[in-house]
Amino acid sequence: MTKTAKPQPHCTLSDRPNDCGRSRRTFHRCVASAVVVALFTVWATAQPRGEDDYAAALAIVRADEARRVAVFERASRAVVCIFGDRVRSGGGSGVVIDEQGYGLTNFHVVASFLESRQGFGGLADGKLYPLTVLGIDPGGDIAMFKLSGKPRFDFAPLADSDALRVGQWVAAMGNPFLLAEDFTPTITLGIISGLHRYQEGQGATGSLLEYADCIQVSTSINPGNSGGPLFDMRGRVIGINGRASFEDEERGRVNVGLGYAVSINQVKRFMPGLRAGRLTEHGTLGATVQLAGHDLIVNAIQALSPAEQAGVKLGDELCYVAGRRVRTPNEFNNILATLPADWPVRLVLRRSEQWVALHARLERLPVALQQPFIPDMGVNHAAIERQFERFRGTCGPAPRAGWSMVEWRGRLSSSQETEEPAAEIAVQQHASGLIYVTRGGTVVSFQIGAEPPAIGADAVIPFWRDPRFWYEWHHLTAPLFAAPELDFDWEMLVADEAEGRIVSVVERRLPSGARIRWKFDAETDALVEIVLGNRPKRETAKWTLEESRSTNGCSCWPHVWRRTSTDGTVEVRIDVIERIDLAGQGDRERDA
Amino acid sequence: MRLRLREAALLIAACAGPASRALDTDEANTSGPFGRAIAHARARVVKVHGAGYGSGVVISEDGDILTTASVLLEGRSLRVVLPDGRSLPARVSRRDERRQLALLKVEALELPHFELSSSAHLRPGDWLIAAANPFKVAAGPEPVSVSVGVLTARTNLDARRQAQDFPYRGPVLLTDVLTTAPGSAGGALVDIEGNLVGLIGKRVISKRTNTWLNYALPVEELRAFLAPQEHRSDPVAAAAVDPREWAVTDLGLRLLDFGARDRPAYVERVRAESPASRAGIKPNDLVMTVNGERAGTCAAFYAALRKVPAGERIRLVIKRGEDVRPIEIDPEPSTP
Repeated sequence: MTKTAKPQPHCTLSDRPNDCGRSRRTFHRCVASAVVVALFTVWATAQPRGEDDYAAALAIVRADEARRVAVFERASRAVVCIFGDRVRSGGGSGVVIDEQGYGLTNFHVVASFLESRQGFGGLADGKLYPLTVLGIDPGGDIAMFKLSGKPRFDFAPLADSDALRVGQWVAAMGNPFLLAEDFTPTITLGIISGLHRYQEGQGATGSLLEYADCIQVSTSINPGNSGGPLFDMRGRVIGINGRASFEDEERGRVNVGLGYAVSINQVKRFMPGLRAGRLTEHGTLGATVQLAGHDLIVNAIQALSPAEQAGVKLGDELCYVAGRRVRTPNEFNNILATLPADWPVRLVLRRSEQWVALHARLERLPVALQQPFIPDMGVNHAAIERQFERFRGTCGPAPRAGWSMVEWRGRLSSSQETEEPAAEIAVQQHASGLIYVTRGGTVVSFQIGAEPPAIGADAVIPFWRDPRFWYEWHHLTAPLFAAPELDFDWEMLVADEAEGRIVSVVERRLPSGARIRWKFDAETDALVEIVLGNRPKRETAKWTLEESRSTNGCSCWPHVWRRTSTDGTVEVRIDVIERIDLAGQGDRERDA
Repeated sequence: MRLRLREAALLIAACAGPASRALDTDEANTSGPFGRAIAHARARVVKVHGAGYGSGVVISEDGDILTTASVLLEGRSLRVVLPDGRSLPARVSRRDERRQLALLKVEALELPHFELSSSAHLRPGDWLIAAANPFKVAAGPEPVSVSVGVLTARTNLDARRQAQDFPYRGPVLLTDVLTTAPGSAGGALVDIEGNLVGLIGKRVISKRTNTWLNYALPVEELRAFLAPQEHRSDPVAAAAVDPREWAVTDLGLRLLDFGARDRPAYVERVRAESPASRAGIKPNDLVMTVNGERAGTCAAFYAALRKVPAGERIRLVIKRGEDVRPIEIDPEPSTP
């Protein structure tokens, strides 16, 4: 810590950011400050000179205010006033997070109308839109809804709440005390008062409405603000306001300067499951810790718990959980309570002077709801369709080009060959969703959705000799390029983590009992991997794709497919050599 | 000129906030216009746990901590949690009933601490940052909560706690930072550079407006509290003291002063272990004379007390029931 600054000439600021011009006298008293050092860049770009200092500074402040007003104006269009279907007296706030009308709020805002899951959302345009509750996260006090009634909704982008700093300005928006009869949100401004705060949950186990690792703000949060967004000064959502410290007995339920928001990074880990209309649950390690001196020691482990299965032993000193340093039992709870059930967690601990790294998958922490929440399959399938559609959106325009070269190399421990020469083939997709693989003018491939074709010996190129891969490749890629027909064998699961990214997972159960899981980056919708398994959590093979965009100006497909399994690794590489105009060609080839 | 340029830059810094693009590029390594003051303050504010919880500020490197005087200090175990997470036993080394301040002592060395300088540079509209532990949100080593606002005014306090008048009636800094949540009292109010300008006071309600007051005792009052025997040796300071408080502070008695004119000087309360209680004064006693002078009303009692030199023995005649008796009070021995 630095030594306290000695009494010195002071540079003080005359007023709040939005009316700095009011107190010119104060301004002129200002003399010095060291705070500016880090901010010289701001100053350098607009360095006030001569007698115009004040005017120049004021101009910058005013420009900044204008920018803030514009940011808030735009952000407020995404804020929702939420009402239940029958009882109009209650309600809360929410925020729309994409143009289709998906939005976030608190679980406790929608809890009163979970039976019908139908309500209304009022937007700043003064209109009420039908609102459907999708999935819920009672443990983290979050729910997702979808507005309908117009083709495109204004929405707010999500920020990275791990990058927040104490002291930065934040704004809350919502409908405190249900003041807004025209549904324009109330905006309150404050700063982040504390980060990584813990506010106990409710219910018998304290696992309901638990605010772990949450954001504490001085921004006024009042009843009715629940479910509304906490914005940074660029209009990005950094949290969902849901709680405040009140003095119920003495002053009633009004703001006394301490509000809490669920961090948006926590919400992101639950969003795929929420969008799929599921009841999402939080995870537990099945172990507890206590402080022994300065060390955090594992003092109890449940039998068969994730901790035990991962190899944690009594007396281990826990140092890192999910990449974060833990020093106190509070920090341990803070991190774990923000993670979903089944989430992979890396633990780093010290055991007899040795560092030990272990991997665990969290166990579900059941929530006790008053009424059971039955997931809606229609909502789930809509989420799957949306996911495939958005993946196709990442692929650019629908592919109507041809690829005239497939080069492959690979190694199969069970197969005889290790290297094969490149084979000339063409892969073509028709707008109808048909994919053809041709060699020397002969169609060697199949139609999407059909069983793999019988492959004539002449037509077979080396990689495809093994029909297993045909079968696999067919089932894996078909839904990516043409919308599959969904039945009860298809399901959107809760989110998972793959390659360090949050992924949404679509699962298909094949008649054989095998399962295919497509994992998409929850933020970018890019395909991260496709996993095959014969049991719910067992993997037998994994396909990953490397995207090599804009070869020959075609950005349609990912180009390197890599299959990893216990048999070995196979890599299939599709290089685009030229684009072929297929107009009129598809029909001919199908006839052939 | 140079100074004005700097001030312009600072104005921009604080006003622009994180919305400024130039600031965003620096997001990783700066922490905004308040970052420095917040870090400075958070490293010097402690959590106080006794019969309840509160906040305190470190004012010396060897463990002197200022906080508000309250019942929480009467707890069987009084502990202070330092910003580094250490939880240490504390003892009360001095109290000021008038200012409702207390000085705590913990055994620690080389602590980051505030210098008690001045609040004179502050003008209404200047930024203020509060650092305290309201609702004991911050547990263990977690850093305390911060919030920002401005100095709204300076005034003299005229407040009550529930039905009781608040003894401190001296100057305070008023602010729009919400400081009235439980646990905030004893926390720091700092300027934008992190200098301590005030100590967040106990939760009081204004007698004029019946609203909760967000205020702090200016650092000058803190220094006066720490200065040895200030109000006894300094006639100016003594004169500035409200005589009603003088009576409470030094004699430990309080009159039933309900606001009517010519109210009789009935004793309402006597503080335990105070000069008044040692002298045998009891509630409901009616004061008749002070040093031979008639003092049958509250106003006359205060007027008579004002004439007594500091530290001198006071002779009262009181009436208890039908009994009239003389009583001598030795004012509190001065604290070293």
